[in-house]
Amino acid sequence: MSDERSGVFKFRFDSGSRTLEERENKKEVRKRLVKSFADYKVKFILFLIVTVLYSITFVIFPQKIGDIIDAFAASIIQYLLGLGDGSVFGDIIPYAVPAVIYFVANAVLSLVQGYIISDIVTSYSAKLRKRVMEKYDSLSVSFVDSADHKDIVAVMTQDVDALNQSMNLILMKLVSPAITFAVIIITQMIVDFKVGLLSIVFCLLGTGLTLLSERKERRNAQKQQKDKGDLYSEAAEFYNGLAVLQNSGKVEERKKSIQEKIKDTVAAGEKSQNVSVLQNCISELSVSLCIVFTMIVSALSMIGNGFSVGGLQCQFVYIRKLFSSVTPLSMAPGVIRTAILSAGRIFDFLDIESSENDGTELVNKTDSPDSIEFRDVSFRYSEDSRYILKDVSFAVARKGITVVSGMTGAGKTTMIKLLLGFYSPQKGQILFEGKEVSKLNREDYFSRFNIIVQGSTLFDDTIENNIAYGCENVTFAEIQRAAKLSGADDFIVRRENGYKTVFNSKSPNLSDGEIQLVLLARAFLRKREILVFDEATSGLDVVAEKKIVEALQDISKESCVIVISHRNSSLSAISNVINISESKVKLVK
Amino acid sequence: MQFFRKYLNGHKMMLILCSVLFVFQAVFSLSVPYLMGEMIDTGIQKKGIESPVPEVMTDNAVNLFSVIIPDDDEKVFFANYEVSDDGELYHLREDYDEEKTVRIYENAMTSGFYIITEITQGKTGDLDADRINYMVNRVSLRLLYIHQSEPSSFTDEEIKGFYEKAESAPEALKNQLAAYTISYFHEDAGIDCDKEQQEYIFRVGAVMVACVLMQVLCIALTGRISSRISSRITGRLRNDYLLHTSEFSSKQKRVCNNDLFTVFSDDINNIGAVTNYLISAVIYAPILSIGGIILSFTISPFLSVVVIATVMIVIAVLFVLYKVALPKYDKLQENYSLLVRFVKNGISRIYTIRTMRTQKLENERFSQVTENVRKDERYVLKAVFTALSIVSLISNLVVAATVILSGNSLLSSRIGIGDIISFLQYSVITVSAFTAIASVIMFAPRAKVSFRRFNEVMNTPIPERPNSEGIKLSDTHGHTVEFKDVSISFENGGLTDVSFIAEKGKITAIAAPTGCGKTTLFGLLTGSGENFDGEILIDSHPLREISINSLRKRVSYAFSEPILFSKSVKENLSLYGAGDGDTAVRDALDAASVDFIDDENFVLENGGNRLSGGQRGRLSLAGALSKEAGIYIIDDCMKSVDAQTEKNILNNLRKTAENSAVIIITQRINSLVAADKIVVFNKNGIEAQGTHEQLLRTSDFYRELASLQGMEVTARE
Repeated sequence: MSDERSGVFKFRFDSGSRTLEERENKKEVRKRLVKSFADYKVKFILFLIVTVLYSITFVIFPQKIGDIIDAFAASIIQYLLGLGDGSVFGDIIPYAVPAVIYFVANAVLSLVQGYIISDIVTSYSAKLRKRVMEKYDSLSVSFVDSADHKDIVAVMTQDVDALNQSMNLILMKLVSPAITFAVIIITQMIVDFKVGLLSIVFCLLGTGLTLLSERKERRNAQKQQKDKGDLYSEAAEFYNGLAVLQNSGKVEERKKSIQEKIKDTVAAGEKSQNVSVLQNCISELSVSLCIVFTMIVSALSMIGNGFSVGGLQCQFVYIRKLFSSVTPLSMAPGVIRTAILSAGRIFDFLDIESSENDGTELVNKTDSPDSIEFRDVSFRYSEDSRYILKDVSFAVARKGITVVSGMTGAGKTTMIKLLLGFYSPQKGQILFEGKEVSKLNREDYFSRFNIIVQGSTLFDDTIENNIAYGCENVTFAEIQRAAKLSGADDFIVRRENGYKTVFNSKSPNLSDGEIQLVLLARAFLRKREILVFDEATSGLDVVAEKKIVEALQDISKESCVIVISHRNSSLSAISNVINISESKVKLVK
Repeated sequence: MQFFRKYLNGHKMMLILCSVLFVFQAVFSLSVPYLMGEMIDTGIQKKGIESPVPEVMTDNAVNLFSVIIPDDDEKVFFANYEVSDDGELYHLREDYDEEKTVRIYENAMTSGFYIITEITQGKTGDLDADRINYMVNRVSLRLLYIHQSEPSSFTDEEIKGFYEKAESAPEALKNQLAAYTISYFHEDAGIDCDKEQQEYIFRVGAVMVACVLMQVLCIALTGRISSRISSRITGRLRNDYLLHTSEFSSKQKRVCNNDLFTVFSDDINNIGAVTNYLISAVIYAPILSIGGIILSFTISPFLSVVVIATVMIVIAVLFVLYKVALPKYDKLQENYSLLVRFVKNGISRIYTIRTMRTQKLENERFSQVTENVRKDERYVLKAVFTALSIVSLISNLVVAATVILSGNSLLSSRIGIGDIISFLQYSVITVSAFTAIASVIMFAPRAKVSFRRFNEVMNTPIPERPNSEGIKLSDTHGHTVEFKDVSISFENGGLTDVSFIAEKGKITAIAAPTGCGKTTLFGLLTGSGENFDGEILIDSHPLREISINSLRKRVSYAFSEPILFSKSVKENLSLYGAGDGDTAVRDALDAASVDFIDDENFVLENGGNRLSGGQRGRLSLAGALSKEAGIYIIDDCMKSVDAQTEKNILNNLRKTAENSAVIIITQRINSLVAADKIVVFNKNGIEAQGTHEQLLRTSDFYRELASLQGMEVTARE
């Protein structure tokens, strides 16, 4: 039954190939992992105490039952002899009451043990998630840009989850059974040395064989994972590109190749399952044989010595428990490996040395008509890559629309990243109100910006909250006014739930144009000196684009609007154009 | 259910074999506790003597029996023994009358027991258990002794009286006394009882070991069979699924409303795992528990009722757990996926969050999400732990109850102590077998969802399109597409009365607002099988009658959302249907202005996700152009391409249009101007059609469209 304890979580996460890597600094990780549990010292000690008590009550309970059986045997004989009064229960009660007390205590202790574990494990992983999130917050944008987002997401979800599960398993399946195991073995040794020895021998035999097969399983599991991975990636591509394949008549060809892979996985699946069947056999074999041999040894030792059937029954209970404690040990290498790997990746993540450097200077408005100025800026992402921008100089006026245009990959978005100070140029200066942006206090500096970046989308929240995002204490009237200004109000009120419509990023219920209008409404709500709008109108139809252009024109009367566009759009006619091409900047007025 | 009928059918023989092996497995695993009972009762209590009466007696014993057994029975009793050749020992006849001999022997021993009690009564007023044990063990020796030392203490009448009293004594007493005493007669006859006992123990022990080995062998075989069945079923499911879905068009994808790949990978995986589990739990557990109940019934019907009641309680507890924890478990999954989505969104929105300085707000939200996950997780874990504690409490209770209640049975029947041991083992086996069935509920929620999704996909009908019986388009024809009063409708609207012609040698541009249904409309030309009214003619043949293969050969479609494979550029184009010619790939890349990749063998990692939108669009266009087709439909591929590149591509398309009809779906003025014919759509259908110049004069709608992008118009002139 205890095997089902982890069943709930079994299916949640297939950490897949990530668990199959090896790691070098295992020892350090292990040390750090143990250290990270320091806050739970008290609870852990409590857990150990409860587990020891649980084991002790567990050991005593079968003895009491054994006593009852023996008392029975005696009292029956007495009754038969005509000596007892026939009230068997009278003799049983002194034995039965403690037995009942012990098994109730045992059940309660196992409950407490479970609760402590759930508490430690869940609060540990919640804390870890928060720590990882805090770390993520302190990472510099340039680092996050350069890292593979999938890896970061995996650390924050998959790895924390895997560690969580491993910890649960380690406490539940390794630590707790180990203590129970020790207590039972000691008791067995005291009660009957020979039987205790027998148990140890069979336990060692069973565990040894299981560990051996575990090692074998790892290879098969790797093979199976690999086959499955191959199949999945091929199938993923097949379904992703189904329309293309149908159109080109390549469906049959791909299908055959997938069918081949299915065959491979079936074979590999059988093989990898066979090992778990083998393990099953080993554990069943060792437990049954141990019981049988205990029976034989006990029976032999009872020749000419009288016997205690109750004692025998008690031993059987011990043996079953012993083996159910030992069986999960076969998982130990796998569980610990997963824990170390996940913990290692989490610690690696926490160790990343990268943080946004924050300046101290505050912005003072200058008299210049331009608020932003690029002076001879050259920039490249890394030493060995080409310069994205070379000797770029331009200024942006305090009011009006400025369009940054240029070929794909010319560095338009990079320019914005530089402007925001997320990256520093190798050469030249970027000034805001005459001060270098890298020296500015971010809180103060950013409070002057509204930014709608490329691929911006809404949060999974109501439209109302999305507009009000980041603003505290705004009234609904203000939100509505902003929406009206951006032109978003039109479509919002036509929705069934109006402003309470919840955006769903998984299957977007707003069109791209509508999303951009909501984002603009957000910008309208928070009046800022500068609005940066990256790839504002790509993918929009002309009518939607027109609405946005009108909204931008409105904003530009009061503030500076920088629009980044990969093509010349309708905005070009009404604004300054900075054209980036060939790493040079042309200012077209 | 139908599902199982279909997929398990092919494995009927395997399943029958498996079930038979399960029966053996159950028999062997139940044999061990049975043999344990035997070992205790016969091996220990009866010193390993299986015979119910002494097999051999000395003269002394014969004399004893002749004294304590009354005449009638004495004759019957001795008739079953014969003198050995040397005349010293009496042996039990091979054809002895068991029933009578046992009855007389039991009576004799009980009567003897009464005689001894009578003699020792005075001294044994306060006997303790040990002494009683000792005394009972020595009854027969005492009897022998009494016979020799005090032959005349009792009169014949008195002896007869004891014998009659013994006849009506409790069965259990007689049974026990008979069992305990045989070995002493054997010892008296010079047999080494300890050695015999040892031999018996070894004999039964060997049988037990054999049973264990056979049981493990059965486990190995059934395990292999069930994993084989489940892994083959998984394979077959995947195969069937693949065959069923490979012709799915956008329509079917919409109808079944599931991610085809997720069902293929995760859901079928779950179904396979559950099948494996079900085979062992659903087939084996009942066999084992029925066996256990039958065996415990033979020992004590009353106690077996206790076991059945316990099983019911265990099932009830697990059912309550299922009801209580399951909704929370679903919520946990939901909250967890929310957490994952939150993290993903947080990363993709890093610029928004950092510049708006909303980290604190985001952190609060994240704490909330984390807290929800933690609470749900803890709740579910605790529910499981609670249920487990209750189940273990109940199992312990049943053990205690069995032991205590068996007291009555011991008195009134022939149950031995060994039987109690067997019984306890049976009850453990039965309860745990039922627990195994009940724990299926742990898998139920996941499995249910997976089954539902799988069925949703499999129940979505495959599009019916003319294939071999359809019209085959001839290669030499004019490659003309004609829409005649075509109407389509969908959830948020539709297009009505669409009529226009796209001809060979011409570029036809379609200017349509987003979301008006143009992709659905032109998807019809790829054989999507969506419903439409009116008629679409390709080279004067109605679309509905054209063979699907022929249609696909004729039409090449560049999708607005670029689809690329994680393979080399060359392989990508080949999957798009590139011709065999040496220069086919290079030509297509040039035509689509793919100037950012020199090497055709360049591998697009992760489906080219490191490329920009414009670059992906161009590669997808190159794919479509690489196919030799008569009709090219280019669906907004150039939306993220800069103006110069767009111009280059349009020039190249002119070449393509020499031998085919080219349809460009776009709103960009450059593309529109370059077309020979423009069809302007509004949200409901066609607004106007003509050339750029014509439309500028006739259509307000188009004029606005152009003026919004006016800069290019002036730039061109």
